Amino acid sequence: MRLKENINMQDSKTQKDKLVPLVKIRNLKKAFGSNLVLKGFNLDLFPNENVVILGKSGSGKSVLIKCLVRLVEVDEGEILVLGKSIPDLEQEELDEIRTDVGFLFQGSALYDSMTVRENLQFPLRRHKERMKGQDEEKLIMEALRSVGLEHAIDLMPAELSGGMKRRIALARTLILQPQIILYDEPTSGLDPITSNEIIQLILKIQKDLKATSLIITHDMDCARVISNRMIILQDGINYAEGTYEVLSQSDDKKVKAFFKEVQKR
Amino acid sequence: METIAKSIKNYLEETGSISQFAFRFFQQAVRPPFEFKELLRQCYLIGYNSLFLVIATGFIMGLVLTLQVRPTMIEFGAVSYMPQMVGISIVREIGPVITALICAGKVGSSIGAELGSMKVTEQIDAMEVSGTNPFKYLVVTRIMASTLMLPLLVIAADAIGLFGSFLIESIKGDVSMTLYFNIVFETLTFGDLLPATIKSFFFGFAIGLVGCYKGYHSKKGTEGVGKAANSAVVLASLLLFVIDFLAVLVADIFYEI
Amino acid sequence: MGKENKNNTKLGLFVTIAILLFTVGVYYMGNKQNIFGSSYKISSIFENVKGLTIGNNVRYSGISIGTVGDIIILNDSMIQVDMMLENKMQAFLKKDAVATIGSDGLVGNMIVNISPGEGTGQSAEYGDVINSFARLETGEMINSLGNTTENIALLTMNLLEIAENINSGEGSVASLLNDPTMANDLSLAIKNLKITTQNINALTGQFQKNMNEVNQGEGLLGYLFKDSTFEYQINHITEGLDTLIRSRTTPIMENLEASSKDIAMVSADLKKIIQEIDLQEGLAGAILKDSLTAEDFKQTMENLSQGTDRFNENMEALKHNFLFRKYFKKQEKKRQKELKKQADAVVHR
Repeated sequence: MRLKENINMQDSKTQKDKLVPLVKIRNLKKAFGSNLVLKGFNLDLFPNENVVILGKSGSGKSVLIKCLVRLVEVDEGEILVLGKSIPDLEQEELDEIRTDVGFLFQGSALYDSMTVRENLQFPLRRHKERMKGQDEEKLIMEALRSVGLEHAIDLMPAELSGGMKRRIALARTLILQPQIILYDEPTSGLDPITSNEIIQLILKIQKDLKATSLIITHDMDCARVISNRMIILQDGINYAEGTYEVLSQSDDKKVKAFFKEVQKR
Repeated sequence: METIAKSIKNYLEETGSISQFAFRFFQQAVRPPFEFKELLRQCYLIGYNSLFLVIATGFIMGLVLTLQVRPTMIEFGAVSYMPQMVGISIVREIGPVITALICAGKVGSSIGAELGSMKVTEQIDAMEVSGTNPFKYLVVTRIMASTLMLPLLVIAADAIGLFGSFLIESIKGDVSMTLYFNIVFETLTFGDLLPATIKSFFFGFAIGLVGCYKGYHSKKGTEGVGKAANSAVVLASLLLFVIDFLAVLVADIFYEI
Repeated sequence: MGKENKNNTKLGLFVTIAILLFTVGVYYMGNKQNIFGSSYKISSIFENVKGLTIGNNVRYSGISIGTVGDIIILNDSMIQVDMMLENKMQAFLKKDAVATIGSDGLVGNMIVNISPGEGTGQSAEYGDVINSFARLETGEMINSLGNTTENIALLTMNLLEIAENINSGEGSVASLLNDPTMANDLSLAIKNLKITTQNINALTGQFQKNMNEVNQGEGLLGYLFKDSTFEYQINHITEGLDTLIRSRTTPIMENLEASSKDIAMVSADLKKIIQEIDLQEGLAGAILKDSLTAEDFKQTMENLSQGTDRFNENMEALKHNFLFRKYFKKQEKKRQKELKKQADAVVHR
């Protein structure tokens, strides 16, 4: 019942802001073999929002955001990103959409065989083919400056620490100046201090770029600091939504259990 | 009984999915955009970086083959047939097969491990969202590079193997270089060189395909990467012999006509 | 960027060298098989190509000059073999050259061997058909020799039988020796023989005279033998003969084969004759059946002995001829040696 209330609350907010959602997911279903991961997930992501999706590991969070850029094909349901239906797009249109959707991977996913510079060049070489020479160099330096790692430009990823890698990965995501940024566990595998640095960096970039973010995490601190709104993914559906304050005070048994478990960690 | 049925099912599944992978390769290979720069880089990594290893093994292969066969040939009083024998066996069979096996070990495993770790650390996904077709960028270039480079490596191995064989002949049998290579080239025909060269293209393709397939479909985790590299070598080596057998069968048919 | 360029240079070097090696290999192979060089076609027609295949070598006096280009069956006893030869061979290959099919060594590949002809014919043009020659295989030769041996064995057996018959007083010869009724017929034959012997006597006399003239340096032959300047020419002729013999080994082989066949035939004939004699048929049988008088026979013998005396005289005359002097001297020496040896043996005993 609480679930319904939350949706209603959100609906009223939408009407108030008179905004079209950048991302709209309806009744998303995905199964791996006989294992049903998503069983009808719904989501609306509005401009300039920072939405955090919380869930236990294996609950299908990563699958969810991978569906948004079609790294995973969905079984059923509707996904609209910037007004386009993702499952029906041709490859070229999909690539076009992907320039507007940045994706920060869990393990940074820097290309091991390339230097930092080449890592940052990589998205440019396809998506912004017109940018050549000086322009490209300028974009790279700008992106590096925004994460504070200009000096690392000629290093190989293997020479960087975990936090630096994460920041370079962030710079690589930002270089195309996307409207939407998807973060897959941005603080996983990092110590608390570095985690905090990354969180502050994300907030700063948010402000600078005026981007909309969808963050997946099980780190409650991270979620609390970043989010405007939180969604708890449980049993393959959006089990509960609301701000941190609302959800943490929730009476729902499962939400309570969830908070308890996460806090313990 | 159940395990047999299961392993047959696994075999069929694997064969089917490798075939599909190969089909996808051909599909993507002919469509632009082409990743020339990456192809060149892979050619360098696969071709040039394997050159030393291939030359070393080829040379030793020539030496050993000659040393082993020579006593028997002396027994038959046919020691003057050594260049013919060694020339034909190196060019037709030993050169391509040994080189391919060496490359399966070196190239196949490195492709398997590299793509495997890229898969596991989501680098392939990152490429995908960067608007680059990772299949084209990673798989097509690697398969093409190994297909193109292997015949060249085989030729290098053949040449150096024959030279090694000549060294032994000249030390033990006092055969001049001119005579040795004259006899070798007199014996060899296009019917020897052409099937061997065509065969080595297939060898290269098989090594690249299996390495990429195993890497691209590697399971999550570091263990998956190791497994991908290992099974790439095993499967590629096995496949090489199957291809070799088929190639000899086909070549024989054409040879008789 | 710099590193990448350097890598590309290395790659380029490797690719270039490998392709170069391949090209050189292919070129040399092609050269040996005469694929790239311009070539011209010569054909020859054989009855049996003995397993020759396309690509086998063609040799001209032992030098590899090309390969077999095609083998076409014209009809049940004619197989055309097309040979692709090096262009430069056109100057040497004449129209009367002869092609044979042989094998390269005992167990080697089949090859086509072209032997030069007399060397006087015209050069063979593109597409010309030259003569072929089917050489007898060793196996066939041995077969015909085997037949001959069999015939000889049979012959020997028959002879043995005849000798036995004579010894035991059976058969025609025995009856000839015993039967006086044959004498008449035989005397006629002996008379004829006598006349022949007299003719021989006369001829021998003539020969003796000629030899004497030779010794004295008269007549054409005498001039020839006596004149030492001819020695050089004779040497020259001998050399010429040598070359001729060498170039004719093949025909001689042929003759040898033919002879061995002839021998077989002769043996067969001989066998037949002896069988006929056995049956008292034919001319010889008739002669032997004829009676003979002792006198005629004696006279014949006398004539014969006279002839022999004359012959001895001739031999004596020959001894004095310079050409034969050395031979006779040698004979003499040999005899002396033999005598001495015998004497020695006696002494030793």
